[in-house]
Amino acid sequence: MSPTDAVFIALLASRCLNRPQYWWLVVLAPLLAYLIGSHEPLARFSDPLTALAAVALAPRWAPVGLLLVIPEYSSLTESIVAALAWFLLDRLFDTLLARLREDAIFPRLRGWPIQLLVIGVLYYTLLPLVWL
Amino acid sequence: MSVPGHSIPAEEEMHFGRVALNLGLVTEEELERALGAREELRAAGIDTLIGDVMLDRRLLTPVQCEQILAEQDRLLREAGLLGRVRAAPTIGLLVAGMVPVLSHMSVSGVLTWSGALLIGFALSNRNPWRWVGIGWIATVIAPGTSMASIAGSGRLLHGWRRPLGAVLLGAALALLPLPETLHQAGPLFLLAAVVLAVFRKAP
Amino acid sequence: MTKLIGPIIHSGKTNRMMMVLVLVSLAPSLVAAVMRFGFAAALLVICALAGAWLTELVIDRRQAFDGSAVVTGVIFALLLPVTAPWWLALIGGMLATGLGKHAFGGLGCNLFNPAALSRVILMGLIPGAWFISTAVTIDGITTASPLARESGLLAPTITGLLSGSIPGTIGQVAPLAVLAGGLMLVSLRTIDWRIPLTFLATVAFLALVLPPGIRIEGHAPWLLGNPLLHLVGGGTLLAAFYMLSDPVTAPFTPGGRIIFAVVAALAMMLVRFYTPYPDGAALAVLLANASVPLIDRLTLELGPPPSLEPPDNL
Repeated sequence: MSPTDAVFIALLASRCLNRPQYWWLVVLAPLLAYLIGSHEPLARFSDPLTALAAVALAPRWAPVGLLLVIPEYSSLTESIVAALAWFLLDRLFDTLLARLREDAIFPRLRGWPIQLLVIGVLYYTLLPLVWL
Repeated sequence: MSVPGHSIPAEEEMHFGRVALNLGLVTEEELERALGAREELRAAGIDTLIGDVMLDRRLLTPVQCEQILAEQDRLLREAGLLGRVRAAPTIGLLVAGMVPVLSHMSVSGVLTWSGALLIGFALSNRNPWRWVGIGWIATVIAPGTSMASIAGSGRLLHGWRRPLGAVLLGAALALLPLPETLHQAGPLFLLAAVVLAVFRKAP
Repeated sequence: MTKLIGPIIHSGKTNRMMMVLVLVSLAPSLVAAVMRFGFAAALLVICALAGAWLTELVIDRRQAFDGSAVVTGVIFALLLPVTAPWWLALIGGMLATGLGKHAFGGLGCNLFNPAALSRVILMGLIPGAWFISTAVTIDGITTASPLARESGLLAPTITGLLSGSIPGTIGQVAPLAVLAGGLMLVSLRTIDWRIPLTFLATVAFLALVLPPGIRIEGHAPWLLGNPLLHLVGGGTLLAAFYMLSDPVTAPFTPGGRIIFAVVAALAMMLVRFYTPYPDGAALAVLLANASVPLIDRLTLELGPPPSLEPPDNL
């Protein structure tokens, strides 16, 4: 899974879970995944250790953390950028949802379909910035 | 007025004019007049909002308008029509089902993922630590499988039908010869939005 | 929580009047495009317009005659390279109105500029339809953008860009016509002058100061330190006067609009300088649109209370 896809699918997963108090700790998951994966002595155990770390950060938000650690981050910068991108998108998405006039939207599109559409549009909008 | 059997107000109770009336900011007569004026404008080809009409006719001040919008926002949120809808099982199924295709899993990878998901579901319910354990066992049996993709997918599902749905969706997306475009999250989200809108129960 | 939604304060101008003004301002660009590319450009404009308008007619008959769908269709057509197939224009027009506007609740409720949204999504879904060989000639040649680095063309000149002899999208053949139309909208206070002015000034500034990336040095060195090229090339002028200035998808406060234009200019220049994507104007418009609720929150919470007078562009 590419880091971009992981960020966006984790963004979607985060919308269907109740938010625990320390949900934002999940932002550390990609960083931990990279650090564990790049540490030579831990190479054999990197997969389980990464998964355990992702769950330990926020057990109630384990799916988000686990989805964020699926990609193999090639550099520390990449893992930090992925974490920050997920966090900023999560905040941005909240403000966009608050701006939606759900009473004006077609009943069939209200709720999840319109949220999926907005995430889809954000995906295509931000895709070129992956090159930066 | 409420929908029988529900504590949430009916949708017409959330309309701007009705909220203004319920808050005591306009009288029924004023609301009728504003609605009539809006109909006249619409007949003349000018589509306008009832709030605009009330502002134009000085039935409301901009501050009162904001107050009504805030109340409308609260009612919509309570009814689950606005903002986040929590614990949505169908989205959990969709996210889990997208994991194999986005992870570019091989056939054996998809089989391991599917098996681990179904067996794991029977054993683990929603405990994330158990899901990590199940993922670990799967990687021991079939090296090269991603633990995180198994544990992450499994923890999102509940009920007995959804793991099955996720497995079928995951296998279909990953194994069917779909266009390369659908191997990315963006188009899958757009497709999912269309499918959900088409197949949801008619409101 | 305060919920800010689209037009609340009435200016006296109806939607139809505003749309007619926008269409009149776009007319010189359309005429120039048809004169330059002939039937091919006319066909694309007609298809985009038909797609947008028929979709509007099917979804909401009452809005179909306010002119907004026609404006959306025309702006989308101007973003197309003339080598684009007719069906791309038709689908683009439909997508702009159906997904960009009505999926979000119709006129006044859309979060993103419909034409930009349609272009960006179609470029992501069917990129092949946008980048057809530059060797194709009809009455002239055209590519997705003269700033495209992989086009294999020689460095474009300012004279070439101004005269429309450099390949580009339909809307790029006559930058002076776009500029004239935009200035007309500004002078009639149909759009807020702050957005195009800040956007164009920031683009010029960034063109001078941004360091070259590896993607620019070997492919299009002419893009460095050349602000005029960035201003008249690509979709800069269309974005400045027709997409960013859309009052529905722009911030509420004057200060917010300045931040919004800076965000858009920065995004566009980063895409042009450091990514292989051509142009980036439509992407920048969408990115700036996505940041509007954040900008509004920031400017309304930190800045002075907004005036109850109608904004300049209403």
